[in-house]
Amino acid sequence: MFRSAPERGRWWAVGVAGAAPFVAVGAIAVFLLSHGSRALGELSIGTLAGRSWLPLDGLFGLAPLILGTLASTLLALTLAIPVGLATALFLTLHAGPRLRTAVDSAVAVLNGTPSVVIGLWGLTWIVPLVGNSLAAAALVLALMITPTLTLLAGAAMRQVPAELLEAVRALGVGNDVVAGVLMRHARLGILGAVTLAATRGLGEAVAVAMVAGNVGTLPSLFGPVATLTTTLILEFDSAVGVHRSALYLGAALVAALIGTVSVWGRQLQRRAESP
Amino acid sequence: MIRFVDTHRFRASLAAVLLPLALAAVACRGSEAARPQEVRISGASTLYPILQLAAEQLRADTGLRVRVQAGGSTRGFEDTVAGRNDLGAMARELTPEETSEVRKYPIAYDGVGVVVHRSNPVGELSTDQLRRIYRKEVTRWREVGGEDAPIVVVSKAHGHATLETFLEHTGLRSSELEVDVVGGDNAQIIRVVANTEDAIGYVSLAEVLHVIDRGTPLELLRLDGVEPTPAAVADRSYPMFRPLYLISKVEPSAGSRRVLDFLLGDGGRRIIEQGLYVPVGS
Amino acid sequence: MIRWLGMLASLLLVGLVLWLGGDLAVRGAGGFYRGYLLDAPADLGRAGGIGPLLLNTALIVSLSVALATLVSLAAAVLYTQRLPVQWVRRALHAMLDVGVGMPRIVWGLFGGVFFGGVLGFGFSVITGVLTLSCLLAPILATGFIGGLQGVDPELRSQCEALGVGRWTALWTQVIPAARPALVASIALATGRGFGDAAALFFTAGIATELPTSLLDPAATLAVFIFNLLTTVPGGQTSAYSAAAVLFAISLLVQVGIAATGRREALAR
Repeated sequence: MFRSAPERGRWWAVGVAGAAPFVAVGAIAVFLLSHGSRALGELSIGTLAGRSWLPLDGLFGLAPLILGTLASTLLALTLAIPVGLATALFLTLHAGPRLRTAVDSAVAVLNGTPSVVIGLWGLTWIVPLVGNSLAAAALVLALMITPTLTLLAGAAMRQVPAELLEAVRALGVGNDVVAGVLMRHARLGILGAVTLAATRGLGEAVAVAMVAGNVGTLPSLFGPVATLTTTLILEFDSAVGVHRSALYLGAALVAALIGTVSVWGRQLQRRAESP
Repeated sequence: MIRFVDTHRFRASLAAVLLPLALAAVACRGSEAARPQEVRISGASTLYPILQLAAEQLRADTGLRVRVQAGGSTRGFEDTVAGRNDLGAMARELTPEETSEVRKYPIAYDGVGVVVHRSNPVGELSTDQLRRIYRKEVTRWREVGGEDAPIVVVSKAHGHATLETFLEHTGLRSSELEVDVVGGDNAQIIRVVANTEDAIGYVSLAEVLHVIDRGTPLELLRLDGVEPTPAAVADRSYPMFRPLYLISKVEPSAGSRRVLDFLLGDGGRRIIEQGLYVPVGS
Repeated sequence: MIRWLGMLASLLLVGLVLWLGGDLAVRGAGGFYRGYLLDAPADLGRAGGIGPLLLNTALIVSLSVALATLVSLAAAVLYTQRLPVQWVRRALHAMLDVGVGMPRIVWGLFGGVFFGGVLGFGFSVITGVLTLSCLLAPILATGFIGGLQGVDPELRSQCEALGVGRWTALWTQVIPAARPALVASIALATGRGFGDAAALFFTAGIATELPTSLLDPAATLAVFIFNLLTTVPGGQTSAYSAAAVLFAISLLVQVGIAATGRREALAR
């Protein structure tokens, strides 16, 4: 297998360095579970599954927070997917390199803007329109995940061979058909982009906390909503004992949600792969 | 078909990655040299403005280096117990178990003020009206002498001392609260109320006085006829306030002692009063 | 139809970005003066400039991206070249996804406890760099894996036919061939690094002076903005000024990266 001893040594070095990202993720999982274990030990499943999150009264129901997390992420995705995909299609099919560079850079800047700044923008411009609500949270969240989606879906679309699109165009069909062919050929990458955007949405905290209203009741569109991560960010500051532990448990739950979405997304990708 | 790549350019970019890391490793070893005495403080962000200004003053006056970090009261407590700081900053009362593990030094008091938007004509509420508003028994400003508009009730997230002070004064339980918006830090509550004409909230008095001074459209309400001011907190005529502490695990070191003495002395008193907090001695 | 919808969507996105940037510049205009980019902050950041923070940002982000790039590239190589077992690959990829989506504040809390506490680095540049590297590594590794998988498999078999060793083929041919994808991932991660506040707030800390060693705390521009908006009373205007600068730097960096990528693509 290996040609020489030095080569084996090099591969060992790569193995050690390459293990680091996985070790980091594993370590953070251990960290969350060890901090969250106290809540698991002291609180009954009934309490944790309850409908009210009121730590001062000993109520640690995670249900509204889980629903809030899912609702805000799903709504954000329904906004981000059409905008992101349409932009990526337009840039791939109809834009020159200059325009593409300009739009891509602008989108990438959004990706690098601190969450707190986007949250402040949302508080100034979005909240006056829809209140501190699930709708505001979804809009701000959409703004935060659209860049990831646009850039990754765009990259996937640009890997589709230009010759193929030329051949389709040569048949004299309309732009929409060409776009359809492009989407079908880039479907793996697009699914990957959507999955990644979804996982980012589940984990975003700072910006959402500034506009969501953060009341831990069952969510409605124009009512306030609290998510697992916004609750963590608002309360961990001075939380002690089992309250603190329950917050970590919530974060572990976010990680589990992300893991589930990721595995599901890859499964869809595999199914899409086999025609 | 296959295009082989120029390896020199690739090596150059690999070097570009490795060089800063190598430099960092060197810099790291260089810093092993003896460090001057310094005092590390971490904890509640509420105390950050006071502590940072005190640190700068002490540095200028005596050369003592004080490093102030935030992270929240609980982080401050954990750091103190683990010996990762010299002093912890706490913006909340300590739990009984916590009290048994550390020494605490009250530094200042901070009032909790009830605020509305500047355009709101209501200037005063009684504790009972406040209680009814936060229970949503009163839902329109007209019922407490204001305009005919719905009241947007803003509260603080669980775990924050401001919320506990508010609950203690009004005698409400947290499960009784019916609110529209929950915020984390004081700055967030301030932003929400300043952005919402019909909102009511309660926040750190020092912070809100500061931002009103800078033109933020907020107004502090009199509570049971008492104007919320640092002076009214000092003479206890204004009822809602919370203590701010520094804590230490062992007998404070010489450096920590100097920080505490400074904060409790004239220099500290000036900084605390300029920050619109209330010194403990008053 | 799709063409016009796409144009509309692009306009919407670019419009939002311009709106955001314009909003920052207008509201932060009061804080700018000659020397703003060089001076140290004064009065808890409510006055003065942002000089040290720019340097801190450059230091922390470049070190973190470099470190994360190194381990992520190794991870991607390992994943694509050395892991034939299907379920192991799936599990590892799911782990990376969890890492990408993990809330940044959780990385911050973890880094503060582990690097700051257990390893004893306290609030320092090192703690911040290690934490930010952990946060960036899954993002980079995911992108790198995609990039390496996208390389024409023929390249490797041709190398083999020419008698080039696997190691040599990998580092001199496969990885350089994947370079555009690698650069795109690094651009994405660099953006993340610039924008991160939640992870660094608990690890590199909020000190606004220049560090004298890597064991000193140091705030990046994003942390400075976060601190002004959450802990310093009356810090909002200064936060807008600093955010406008961060926005402008971010724009310059991204345009630079995109332009380089385009030049390379044209050179082919």
